Amino acid sequence: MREWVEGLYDSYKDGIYSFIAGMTGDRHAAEDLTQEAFARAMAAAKGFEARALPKTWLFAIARNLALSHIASRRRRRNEEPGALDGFAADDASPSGMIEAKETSKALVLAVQGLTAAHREVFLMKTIDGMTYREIAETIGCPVGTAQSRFHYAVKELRRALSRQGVE
Amino acid sequence: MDCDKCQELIVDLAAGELAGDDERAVAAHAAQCAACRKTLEETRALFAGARAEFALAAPPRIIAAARRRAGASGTSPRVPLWAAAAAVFIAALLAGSSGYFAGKNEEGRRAVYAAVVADSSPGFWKVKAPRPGKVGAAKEEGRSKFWDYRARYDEIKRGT
Repeated sequence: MREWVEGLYDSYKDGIYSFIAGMTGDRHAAEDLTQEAFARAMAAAKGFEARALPKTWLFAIARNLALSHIASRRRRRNEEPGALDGFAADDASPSGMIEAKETSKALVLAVQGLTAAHREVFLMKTIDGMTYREIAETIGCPVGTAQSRFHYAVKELRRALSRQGVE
Repeated sequence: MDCDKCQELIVDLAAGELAGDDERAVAAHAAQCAACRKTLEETRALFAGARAEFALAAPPRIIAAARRRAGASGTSPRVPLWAAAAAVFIAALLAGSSGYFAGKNEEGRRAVYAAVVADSSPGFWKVKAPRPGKVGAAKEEGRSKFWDYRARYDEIKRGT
């Protein structure tokens, strides 16, 4: 089973790592959480149900870890609810944050400014090329909800970029 | 297709979620409508920009670390502490009791068992099982029998 997971690792390591980094805004944490995701997948491989796609199963593990990390970081920093859903606070620190030039930085900040529920759908769709169906399976919601969250995320990003003078 | 409908579907087209007639209709409208074409181009640019910013290559050391973590945590299901403690307690109890009967008292136990089987006294099989409301009486009756055989066990053990 471990070999099977390692095969999945070859296919999805970049996607999982990118997704967690995008969600947390912290590359060091992303590395650690990606390790944990694959370690958990190895440990839980026997319980994998063929009803789920290996890809969505892996992403569900990664998503849970990323959301837990965000929640625990919020508690540690005693932040207001929602404030940490964006990356603005982390962006000030150089540790592992995504470096960006001015224009791309605006995009990064705009994505980081989305709520976690919208950011995860946007990242799964644009970075990992997941279909609405795969996203819905990963996060456990109807396909229509995944689609509407993605539409809302795009609308919010356009609005945020427009406010910053970026088209 | 009008602009409102096209604007609704542009995100899905740029995201690769449209196919067939819908895909062709949106593409055809965008080709002749400057505003919708601009929206489509901006949406595609947004997605490309997001990929450029957020798509990363995972450091190669991750899988080795994941292997170590999986090895450290084990692949078998975790057993709660209370269940482990209960298992140890029960195992110790069984080991102790089996040792008790299999050891020095085995001979006496067998002798008492033979005596009980050989008992033909009319009252022996009439020992009442405990019943709700009459626990005391039944217990008393059963107890007397028990102590009878316990006494015989001691006699056998002493060789008297």
